[in-house]
Parts: sequence; C-alpha cells; structure tokens
Amino acid sequence: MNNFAYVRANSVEDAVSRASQDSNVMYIAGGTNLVDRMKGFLDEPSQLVDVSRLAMKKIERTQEGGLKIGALVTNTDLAGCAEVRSNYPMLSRSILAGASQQIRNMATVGGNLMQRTRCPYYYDTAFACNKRQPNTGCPAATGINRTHAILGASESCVAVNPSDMCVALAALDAEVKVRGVAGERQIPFVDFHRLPGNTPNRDTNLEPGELITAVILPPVSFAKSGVYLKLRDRASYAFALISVAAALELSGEQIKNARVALGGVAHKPWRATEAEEFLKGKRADKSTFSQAAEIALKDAKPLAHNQFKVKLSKRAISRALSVSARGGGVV
Amino acid sequence: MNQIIGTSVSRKDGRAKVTGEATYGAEHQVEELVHGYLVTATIANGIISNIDTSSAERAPGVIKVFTHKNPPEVFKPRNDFINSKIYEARLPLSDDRVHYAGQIVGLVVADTFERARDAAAQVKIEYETQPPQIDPKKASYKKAPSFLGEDLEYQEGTFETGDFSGSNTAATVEATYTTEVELHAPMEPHALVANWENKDSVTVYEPTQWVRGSQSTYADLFGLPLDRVRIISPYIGGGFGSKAFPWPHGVLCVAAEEKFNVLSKWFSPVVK
Amino acid sequence: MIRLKINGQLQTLNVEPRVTLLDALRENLGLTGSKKGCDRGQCGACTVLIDGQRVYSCLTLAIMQEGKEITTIEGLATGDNLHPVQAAFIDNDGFQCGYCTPGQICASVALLDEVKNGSVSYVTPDLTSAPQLASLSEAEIKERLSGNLCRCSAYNGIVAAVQQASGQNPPSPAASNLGTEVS
Repeated sequence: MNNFAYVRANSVEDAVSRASQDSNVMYIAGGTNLVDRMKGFLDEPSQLVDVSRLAMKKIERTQEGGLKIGALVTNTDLAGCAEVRSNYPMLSRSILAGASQQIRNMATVGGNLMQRTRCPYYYDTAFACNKRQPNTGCPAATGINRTHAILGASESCVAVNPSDMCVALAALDAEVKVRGVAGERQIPFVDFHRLPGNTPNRDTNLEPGELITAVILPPVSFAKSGVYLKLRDRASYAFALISVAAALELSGEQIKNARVALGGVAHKPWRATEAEEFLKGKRADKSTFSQAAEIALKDAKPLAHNQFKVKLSKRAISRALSVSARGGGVV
Repeated sequence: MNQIIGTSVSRKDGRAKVTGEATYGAEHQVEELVHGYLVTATIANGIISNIDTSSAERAPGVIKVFTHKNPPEVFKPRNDFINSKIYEARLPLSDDRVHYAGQIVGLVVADTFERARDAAAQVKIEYETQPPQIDPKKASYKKAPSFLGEDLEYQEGTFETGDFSGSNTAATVEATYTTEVELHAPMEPHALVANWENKDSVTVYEPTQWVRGSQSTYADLFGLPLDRVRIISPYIGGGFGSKAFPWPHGVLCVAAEEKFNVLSKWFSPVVK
Repeated sequence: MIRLKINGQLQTLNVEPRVTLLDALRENLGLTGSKKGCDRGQCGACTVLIDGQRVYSCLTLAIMQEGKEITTIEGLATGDNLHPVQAAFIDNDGFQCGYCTPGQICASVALLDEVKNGSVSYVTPDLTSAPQLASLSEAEIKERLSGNLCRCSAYNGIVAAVQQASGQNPPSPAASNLGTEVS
C-alpha cells in the first residue's frame, strides 16, 4: 500500500469537488474492497476522501411507492430492512448470499456497486492485465479461466462482476443516483456497469469524480415472489460461480411478467431480457422454464475451463423460476 | 488414574487463548522492533538478470535492502535431520537462480510494516525466464541432479489395469483423476522476531513444532554453541508440518538482525 | 495523531493513514489478541467489534475509526469473569491452536446480538420470520459464522459453544467421533 493523504469529507459537494480536481483521488466508505486492492498495489490513490460520515444512510419510501436507498446504507442494514425483506426478498437474499457478516456490516450499497472483479490475474500484479493497465494483455483468456465470463466478454477481458446485490438490483430495474460537479443525474441500473469491449479498465459509466448518492428501487408488484439462487464452490463465504435472480408474475397458470438476471457470467450483472419476453404469456411449467433458460444462454461463449457454467446457468434459471412460480422462498 | 479418560477436560491454556493473552511468535514485544518484508519471485524458473533496489532504498523509513548481491552471511548447517534441518538446503539469496515462483529474492527492512511493504514493491527485477517443468508426465523420474542443494529421488509408481472385456456392465465411466496441490496454510503466518542480546547470543521468537531442532539449526547457521540460542515458542497457531524447521525467511530474519545490528526484525510473508 | 477508543479507553497514536486498525492494535498499542491471519479479509481472525458490530480490522483504516467504540477480545471479560461466550468456548473445546479463537469469539458475541435483534441469514427459510436464539439451528450458526475460518477444524466445538451461549443444550464434548456418548 502506497502512502496517501486522508481527508474526511464535510458534505457531498465537498467530496465531489475534491475528487473532481485530480484523477488520483478516490472515495472510501466501507473500504472492504478498496483497502484490499490497495494492499495488493492495484490502486495507489494520492488521496482518499472518506465519505463514510456523510448523511446518506437512510432508506426512504419514494412517491412512486418504491424505495430510495442511501449510498451509505450498509449491506447489513439493506438486507435486514423489513420492507426489503417482505417486498423485495430477492434483494435481501442476494445481499445475505454475499461475503460474510463482518464484510456486510462494513460494506455500503454504493461501494458494492463499485467493487471490482476478483479475477486472479487482475489481482496479481506479476501478470499482465488490460483492466489494470490497458493494452498489456489478458492472460485469463488463455489461462485458468474456470471462474470467468461466458457472456459479453471481449478479447481484452473475460473477467466477471463479483457482486450478488447488483444481480438483484438489475432484475428489479433499479436506478443509480449520482452527483458530479455538473450536478445530479440518474442512471438506469443496466447501464451503470459496462461490458469490457476494448476498455475493460472502466467498470462503470460514472464520469471522473462522480459520487453515488442513492439507489432508487421502483415498486415491482410481483417482486415478493423474487428469489436469488447462488451456486459456488463452498456453501458460504465464496463468490458465485453463477447466480440467478428471478421473479414471476402469474395469472393463474399463465406468466404475465418475468424478471431474470444472472451473476458470475459477465463483466456486468446480466439481465436476460430476451428470456423475459419469451416467458410472457406462456404457461408456468418446467418446459417453458427450460426453453427460457436456453434462450438466456444461447449466445454463451464458454472458455477452456468454464464450459460447465452454461449448463449450470440453464438449470439454475429453471430452478429459480420454478420456485418463484410457487411464490418464492429459499431456492 | 484412568479417570481422565472418557471425561471432558478443559484445555490448560484455554483461558489464555479465549482472552487474547496467549502470545504467539511475532507478538512478543521487543524494544525498537523494526520490520521486514519479503520480495518474492514472480517467475517459476530462470535467472535474475537485473535487480534494481535504488528506489526501495530511498523510500521513507527503509533501513536496508538485501538481495543476492549482498546476502547476509551464514554458515551452511549440517542439515542431516539429526543435528539440524532447514526446509531449503539452498541458503536464501545465495545466487541469482530462481527455482520456483514465490522464492525469496529480496528482503526490505524498514521502521514500520507499511513502509517495508511499500518499499518491497518498489524493488524492480528483470528475469531471464526459462520454462518451468509443470507436467508430471514429462518428468524424467531419474535421479534429480540436486534441487535446492539437496539430493532427491523420484520414482514412478506402478500401475495395473484390470481386464473388463468379459464383464457385463451397464455403463462405462472413463475419467482422469489428479491429486490437487495441498498446502498447510495454518492460521498463524510464518512470522518471527529475532533479538541478538549481544554478538554471541540470540533469542528467536518463532512458532516451531520442534524447538530443539530450531535451536540447533540456528546454532549451526550462526556458528554458536547451543546454549547461546534461545527459541521461544509458547504457542503455535497451527503448523501441520510447516513449522517443523526454519524457513529461508527465518534464516534471513535472524541473519539480517545480526549483520545489521538493529535490535530485531519481523518478517511477514507476502500473502496472496 | 489519531485518537481511538478501545475497550473503553481513549488511546492516542501517531500513525500514517495507511495503517489498518489491526496493525494499529497489534503494532502500536500492544493489543495482540486480535490476530493477523490472511490480512486480506478472508480468514476472520482479526474480527473486532465497532459500535457493537463485528468487522474485519484488517480491512479498515485506523484513522477511519476515530470516535467509534472499538471492542477487542481483550475487552470482553469483566475482571476475572469471562464473557459467557469465552466460557462456552472453553466448555465446548471450541478451539485447538487458538489462533482463530479471538476472532471466532468476537464474531459469536456479535452473532448473539444480531439474532436477539431479529436478523435473518441466507439460510433463513422465511425472511419475514427471524429465528430465535433458543431454536437457532446448526445451519444458521454455520452460515452466520462462515466469515471465520478454523484450520484445526474445531467447528463442532465452535457450533456447540454458540449453542451453549444461546441457551441451548449442545452435545457433550465427551461424545466420541462416532457420536456415541462415553461415560
């Protein structure tokens, strides 16, 4: 870890103005990913602006009937919020599926959106990495790539986004409220994270200096049936090999509306919109679910060691949809 | 006498362990402690063609940088498993050869852990990389010339294949199974503190599964009589065989301390 | 200069901003009860309580914790009286080498408070119905302690210790490997 200047921000404006002056200034809140990266010399900020004491820690109801979640709400507090538990169970469970209680107590909602891939090549400075340093190469593409992407990857990067929470937020059509020197704007969740293309160094569409202030959750009438299924190498405290957030709205046996998003498969939380469209109007049964899963994975391009992810994802989608069709719960 | 068997007995050191009072190797408090951080090889096989320590040496708080160009001097221990034993017969920093990834190729000593770690990352190394042999099928299985200064013998196992031609099986499963690499990975890292009380006597606070072995090994390494080497190891945070003998970083820690005449060192291994 | 409140005492220390809370405790304040295992937030040995919540002290900067109430393993006992969780770890042999133990105990102390306050976990069947301490299942305890590794694998004893501290009756530590009681 390099040495750096540390400053505690007094206000959002103060924070944004400090970070906008110099691209080597970084925000810190929970620090669970940033401190870890700094220990590995992946980030070497000249200054850390501590935003953890700013007043962005509330979960409030919006006029539309959804929720406005302050960027500094901890992962624990969001997962434990009574309203989220009963109305957005897939969000609650996705957060509880991630990390450990210690991490969730420290980690914030804004920080969760900003965490970076755990690709071992990105993490080891002995290797080249286009994400760390553009145009140096991607050893993961031809190396050990069991945990890497099967959808939306590029020649320059096959890393996956590690977040569980973001998979649920993508399925729920959340929006991200950000503040920059130019003012405030709101980014649809599916546009917040980027596919790697030839700029894998950029994970998000945030402009330099912009600070996440809140996540807006719209009302989703059928979100109560939402489920989150996470499959990993051990039962707990491990990143997803693949994960599925799914919710169904039924009218009798018929599907009126569907949400399906995947984690652990791409550089961003992967919303399976084509599969969702297919599900609409179909009978809620196993055959429909497996056809939807085929559609969701039809463009999959597995690498040498992660071919298993394709079948695993399809089966996980079917299983998650089946449980959601029964009203939700543990998958 | 036998009543102990079949009854539940609390650990004698239980109270110390649940209150945080149990003091492990690198937790011993020594005045004017300074810190070491290892520089480790990022290739698996090859030669160090250039090592540039200038920026590390100029970094704040840095006291000394050791590489194969200025290795601390030690004697070769007998290493016969009776009088002494070290994990690597090749002494640390003894030449420019890299035999495996993660091999110690440098050591930075600084006034704080953070400054030692920072400076260690500033040591710039260029390698002449040679391809490592990582495929067991391509291994020669002949007597190895000498690995890290120690003779090793490899033997290919014997294989038998059954005759399935006459059997009436519903299904045949063919698969190749390989054994995963297994590491000890105890919870307590291999960290230690060395303290030379004077030129002829040293105390090493190092977690060890073989206190007497460590004592005689360090005595060999530094040419000291046994009673001039004290090993303090009241607790060991797991070893699983990996804390039986001194490691190269332990040798370096004690050696650097002697050579450099600062009171003590603590080396924390690079965690990846 | 930074000021930290640790186990009820205000401490002043002169450290760089990059010093983690764990290193400040161990290297600057002589509080070596919090252990450094992986130093990267993966093993849990450095777990301490900040304002009553468990965190990894290796992943937070000391300077960020000014003004907070920090409780380490050294601050749990009251005089000679062990905290009930500390006693339960001894009673149920919840450790061997002891290096993960301070972290396991701090995590368990927080776990009990979390359950008392109605928290749910990934394995809770119904998120609107939080489990109670008296009936907290083994699966719940394992999930809630998954952020603390024990390489000696004293997990059975650790789960039993949490059960005892929850007011449950854990299996006797004298039970043999085959699960039969030896008397």
